[in-house]
This record gives sequence, C-alpha cells and structure tokens, in this order.
Amino acid sequence: MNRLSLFLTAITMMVLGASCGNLPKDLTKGLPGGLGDLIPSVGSSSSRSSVDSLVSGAKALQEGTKDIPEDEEIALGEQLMPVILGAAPLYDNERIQRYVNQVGRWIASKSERPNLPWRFAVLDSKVVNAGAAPGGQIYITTGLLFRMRSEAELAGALAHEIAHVVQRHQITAYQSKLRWGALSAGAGALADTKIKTGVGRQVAKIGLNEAKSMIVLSLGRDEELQADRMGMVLAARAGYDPFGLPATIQILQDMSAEQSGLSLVYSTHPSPTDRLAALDIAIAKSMEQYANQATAQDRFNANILGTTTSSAPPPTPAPAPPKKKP
Amino acid sequence: MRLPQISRWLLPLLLASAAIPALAQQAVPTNRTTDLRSRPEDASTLIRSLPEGTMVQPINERSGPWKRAKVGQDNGWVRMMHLRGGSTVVEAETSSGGGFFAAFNRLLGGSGERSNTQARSATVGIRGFSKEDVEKASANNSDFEKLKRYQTSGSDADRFANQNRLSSRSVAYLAQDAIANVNSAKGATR
Repeated sequence: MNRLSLFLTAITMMVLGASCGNLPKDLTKGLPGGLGDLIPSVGSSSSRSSVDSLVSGAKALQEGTKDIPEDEEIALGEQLMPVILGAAPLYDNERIQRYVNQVGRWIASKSERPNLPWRFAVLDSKVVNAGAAPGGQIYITTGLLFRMRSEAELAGALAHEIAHVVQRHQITAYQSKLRWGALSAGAGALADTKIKTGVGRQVAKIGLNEAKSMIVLSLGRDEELQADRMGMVLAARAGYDPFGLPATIQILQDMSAEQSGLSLVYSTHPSPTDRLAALDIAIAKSMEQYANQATAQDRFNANILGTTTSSAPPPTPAPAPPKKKP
Repeated sequence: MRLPQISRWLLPLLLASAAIPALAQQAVPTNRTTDLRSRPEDASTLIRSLPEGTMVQPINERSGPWKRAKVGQDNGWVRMMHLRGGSTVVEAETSSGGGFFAAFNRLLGGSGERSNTQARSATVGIRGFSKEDVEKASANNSDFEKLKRYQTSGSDADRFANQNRLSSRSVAYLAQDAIANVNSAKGATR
C-alpha cells in the first residue's frame, strides 16, 4: 500500500466518522478548518480503550503520509479540481481565463515550485473567494475578480494561493484532519480504483465524498498569515506592487458581513482586519521599496472589465451591504 | 453547526441588502494617529494630523501603500494600513439597514461585546467555498479539460511578462517563511 493509499484510507475513515457523528467533542476543537462546520453533531461516546488503540494507528498513518511525493500531490489536486468545478463551473470567457492563467503562471514561475502544472480557474460564482488544491490547482471566483481594480490585486490574491501550494499547507491540513479522523472511527474501506500519476505510478482514486471533505477544509490562522506574507513577496518578485494583496484583503473587509452568510468558511479564518494588522507588523514596511512596481490597472481593465458579458456582475465594485451597529 | 438553518432565513435579508443601490465606499476609522498628506509619500505636505479613530472616506485610488481619502473637506492621501485595523473599537458603520447583522454575528459565534468593526469582519477568509455548492457537486470533467487548455506554459508566461514590462527581481521571504522542505521530485513537471 503506498503512502497516498494510506492517507486516503484514513480520509475515508474521517468521512465515516463524520457521518457517525460520535466524536469526542474536544477533538473537534483546535483543528485546522473548524471541523465543527462539517460535522452535524458531536457526542462523547468513544471508549478509552478504542481511542488508545486508534491513537497509535493514527500516528503511524500520519507519519506514513508525512512526505507525499510530488506526483501524488499533483494527482490528488487533479482529482479535487473537477469537483471544485462541479460546485461552480468555469466562467465562460476564454480571454479572461487565459489572462488569469498568464498572470498566475508568471508569479508561480517566481516561486520555489515553478514546474508544477499550475492552473488558474476563474469560477462563475458570486461568492467572493479564491482557493487552492494541492499541486498547483488554483481558483478565483468572478465574485472576487470583478471586484478587483488592478492586475496587482489579482496578482496578490493568486500569489497568496500559490504560497499555500508552495508550502503544501493543504496537505498538512489533510494530515492533521486525518489524525483526528483515524481517531474518530474504526477501519474504513477504500475503493480500490486506481489512477496513474504524471510519472505513471498507480495511486488510489479518491471518492467524491473524500474529495468534498478536502475541498471544504480550511487552513489555520498561521497558514493564512504566512500565505499573506509570502504572497506579498511573490508579487514583488514578479514585478508587481505588493500592496495589491492588502488592497484585496480590504475588499474582503468590505464584503465580510454580506458574504459570511454565503461562505462556508467564516469563523476559523483570521479576519481581514487581523490579516492586515499582521502584514503591517511583519512585512509592510520592508515591502514599500517595491510599492512603485506595476499595478497594471489599464491592462486589467482591458482584459477583465472590457470583456465581461452582459450576464456578468457590474465592473464597478458592488455596493457594500448596509450595516448598523448592533 | 447550524449554519444551513441560519442561512435559510438570513439569505433573503442578505440578498435584499445586496439590491440596495451603490453607496460611496464606506467611511472607515484610522487605527492609530496618522497623517493626511498631499501626495502618496511621507515627504509630501502634511494636510492634517488624524487622531486614532478619525473617520476617513476612502476614494477608489491607491498608490502603493497609500490610499486617496477625504476627511471632512480635506482631500489627500493616508496610509492604507492605518485604516480600520488592529484592535481599534470604533463604530465605522453609519448607514442604516436594520440590525440583523448584529444578530447574525452573534449567531455566528461573535460575542455580544465585540460589537466593533473587527467582530463584524471576522467572518471570511480568502479561501473556502459555499458548503451547499460543494455538497451537491459532482465532478465536472469537461470543465477540467477546458481548464487544461487554458493552462499557460512557463515560456508563455515569460513572454506575457516581457510584453507587459513586468520584470522579476530577487526578493527574499521573511526568515520565518523560508522554504525548508520543498522537494522537486522528478517527473512532476509537465
């Protein structure tokens, strides 16, 4: 059994565990992604002895997946992306898709993993969002893209996601969840369908439910803040004004209240305010020397706003939701 | 977690709020004592000093870390990182629209006391997805094939950068973010 198979077996267990809903409550806390979101109910019925025996198994599983080879990581991401596209399809505009891929691929070339099969999907969704799956699969929604005002802002958001992939944050999060998942249920059966990786090795094909569990998994605060810091650096390396990223976070800041009802991930993420404050303390000053690099506002407008179809959201930033002090 | 139920009755309210005509970008408070300057640089003329909590009307123009803004009758530039951050507890919202966001935040776990801008914005990250969308999804392989066709090669990306005068430069990560464990397994490139 190869390492990915072990990993996926445990993910299967995790899914089973979630449907059983019999997790000790404390295990659902402090995990990446606020697992409470995904679990309909949590009780406290695990017996001590079964937990003990599962702990050792889980440890072995986690150690077994510590170093997933790159081809397996890519194969995993390439199984998640079709499901992401099942949740929201590609936005039907070839020029915009190609433009975003050019910007994203250029930034990725400046990362430590330039040779991954980087793909950047613009999703037709009003949800304001961007995300990444392992191995270089990145998405951004039209809900976010059409609120941006320059290529530097797009670069900032893509660079943030590229940083997650470079650091393998998703893999680490799956592994953390997997440790919990192995604790949560007994053995899980894994479908033994196989797929080939890019280098021809056979790995287990993941099931739809496992894929969904991974897609909705969020990362921890530390990972998000790291991706923000690295995102500014990556954007600066690619010749962009790195302050496009904090400007994008300010878009989220304006959007949060409206979007919180529509987005899966809300309470476990650092707030935009928190993220901006962290960037300010950590890196903003040292990035100022690159602040006069390209924003490419005109090129962005020509490629994005000039080519939106009539069904697209308006090119101007959407109105902020009305708010009132509580 | 009871989000789905909450969403069900809040959704119409949220959609209604989105239908309200565009307002000017909302005024935001400064998060520290800062300056309104005549140009987006420290060496420019000081128009006025802004105490922490001063309400500033941002204008949709940015120059690096500076944001164009209006304070009262004064127009100038203020540092974007000095707006609405940190632990400042200032009521930023002035427009009307009902109190349901307050209830919303409490339902989402925000404590009653944290009724400041920070609490209100502590609800979304740059990733994640609509849970309902993912739950009902099945693999969309045809769009994935389409996506592969949009994939840009490294050399095409270089050409894009050259044509658009994007030049790369060497910039280091912070020490804490240095890449320690990135492998480059053979055969991963395509």
